[in-house]
Amino acid sequence: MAKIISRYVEKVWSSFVLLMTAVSFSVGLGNYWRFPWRAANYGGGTFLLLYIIWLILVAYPLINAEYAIGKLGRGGQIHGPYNLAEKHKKVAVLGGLWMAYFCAFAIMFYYYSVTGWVFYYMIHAILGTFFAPDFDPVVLCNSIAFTPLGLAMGLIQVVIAVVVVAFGIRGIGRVSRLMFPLLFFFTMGIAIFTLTIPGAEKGLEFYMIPRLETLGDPAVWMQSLSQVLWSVGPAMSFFLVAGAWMRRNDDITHIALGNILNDTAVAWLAGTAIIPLIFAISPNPFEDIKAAGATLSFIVLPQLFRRMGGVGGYLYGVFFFIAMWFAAITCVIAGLEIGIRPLKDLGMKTKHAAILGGIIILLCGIPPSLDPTWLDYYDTILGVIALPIGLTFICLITAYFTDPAKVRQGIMDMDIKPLIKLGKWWDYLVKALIVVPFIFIIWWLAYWEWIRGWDAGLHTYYTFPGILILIINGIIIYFVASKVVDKLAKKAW
Amino acid sequence: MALAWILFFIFMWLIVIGALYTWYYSVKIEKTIRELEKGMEK
Repeated sequence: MAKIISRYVEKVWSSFVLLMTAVSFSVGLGNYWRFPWRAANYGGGTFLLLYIIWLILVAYPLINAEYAIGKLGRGGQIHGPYNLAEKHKKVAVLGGLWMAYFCAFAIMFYYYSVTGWVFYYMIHAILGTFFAPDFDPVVLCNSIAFTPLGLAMGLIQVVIAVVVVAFGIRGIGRVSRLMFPLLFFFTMGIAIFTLTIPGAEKGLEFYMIPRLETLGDPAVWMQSLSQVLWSVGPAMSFFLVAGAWMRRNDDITHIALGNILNDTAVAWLAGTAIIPLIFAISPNPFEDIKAAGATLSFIVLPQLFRRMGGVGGYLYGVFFFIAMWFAAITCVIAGLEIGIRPLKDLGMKTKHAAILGGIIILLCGIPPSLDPTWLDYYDTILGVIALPIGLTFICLITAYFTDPAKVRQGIMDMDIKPLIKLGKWWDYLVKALIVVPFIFIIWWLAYWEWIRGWDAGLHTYYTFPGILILIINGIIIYFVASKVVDKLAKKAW
Repeated sequence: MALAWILFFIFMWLIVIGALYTWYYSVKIEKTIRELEKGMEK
C-alpha cells in the first residue's frame, strides 16, 4: 500500500525532552482549578479512585494508540493516519484533522486569553498587589476577565507561543524542559507548605477519604471520566504530533505512562495545596469549595494568600501563579504546534505556519475573549461533543481501519525492551473503547438537559446549532483533505 | 484523620514518586539509546 511522505521531518534529541514536552501539554490550567474543584465536590477519595480506574482503562491505552499513529505513520495529522490505516484512509485523515482542529486548535481560541489572565495575576502576585490595603479581588478580576486588557494579555501569550513554535521541536523542547520541572516542584512545594498550616488536616480528610455513598452516583463516574479526558488530553492530537518526533527507540509505553502519572501528580498536588488551605484559612470552606470553579484561582485564592500574610503568603502566591502560568503557556504552545503541523507536513515553512496559526487563533479568539457566553459556547461544543468524537477516531484508525495487533507490534518493535509490555488485552481494549465516547456524550447531554435542567449550564439553543456547525465543517474538511491526499498519493512511493 | 494521612502517603508513593520515576527512566534509557545509535553508525 502506497505511503505518503511528510516534507517535515524533525526528531527529539533526548527521551527526557520528549517526556517533558509531552507532559507539558497534558498539564494545564485544568490541573489547578478543575481537578481540585471536581474532586472536592464529587466524592473526594471516591473521585480519586475512579479517576485512576479511568486513567488505566481509557487514557493509557488510547494515548499509546495516538502516539502509534504519529510514530508508525511517520507524520502529523494527515500523513500519520493515512499511512497507518489499511482501509478507509480518507476517513482516517478526517479523524486526524478533526482531532487537530476541533479537539485542540479551536480550544486555543479561548485558552489564550485565560492564559493572559493568569499572566496578569502572576505579575500582580510578584508586585504584591494582593497585600495592598485597598485590594479588592472582585475589582481585580473584573479588570481583566472578558475585557480588552484581557485580550491584550492574551495577545502577549500568542506572541510568546509563535516565537517558541517557530523554532520547531528545538524551541518547544527547550521551553518544556525548563518549565515543567519548575512547575512540578513549585506545586509540590506549595502542597507541602499547605499541610504545615494549622487546620489543614480537616481539608485533607475531606479531599482524600472516599465517601463511599457517592460510588453509586453516576455523576461521580462521569465527572471523573470527563476530568481524565480533558486533563490528560487524548484525542487532541498532540500525542500524534509527538509520536512523529519519536526516534526508533523512543518508548511509547514509557512516555504514555509519564503522561498519565505526571498529569495526575500535578493535579493531585494542586488539590492538596488548595483544598486543605481553604479549610485552614476560610471561615466558610464548604461554601468556598462549592462555589469555586474558575473563580477559585482569581477571587478566592488571592484572598487566602492575603489572609495568610507575611513572606509566606507572598511567596505562596508568587509560586502558585508562576506554576499555573507555566502550565497554561506550555499548552498554548502545544496547541499552536498541533494546528500548524499539517501545514508543515505539506511543505509550509515553520516560521510562516507559526505566524499564520497565531493570527488565526487571535482573530477567532476575539469573541470568547470578550464575552463569557461565547467562551461557554466554544467550551461546551468542543469539550462535550468534538473531543469524544476525536476519541472515536483514535479507536477507528488503530483498531478498525487496521489490525490492532500490527499496531501493538509496531509499538513494541524497538532495539530496547519497552517499559510496559502491551498484550492482546490492549487490542481488545482499544476496540471496545469505541463505545465510551457515545456513552459520554449521551450521558452528558442527558445529565444537563434532563437531570440538572436545560438552563443549568448546557443551553439547548446553542448546543444543537453548534453540533450542526461541527458536522458541516467536518464534511468540508473531508472533501478538502480527500483532494490533498489524492494529490499526495500520486507522488507516493 | 489517620486514614487521610495513610491515603495521602499511598498517593504520594504511587503517583508522585511514580511520575518522578518516569523522569529517571527517561535519563537512564537515553544512555542505552545513544549507545545503540553509535553502534548502528559504526
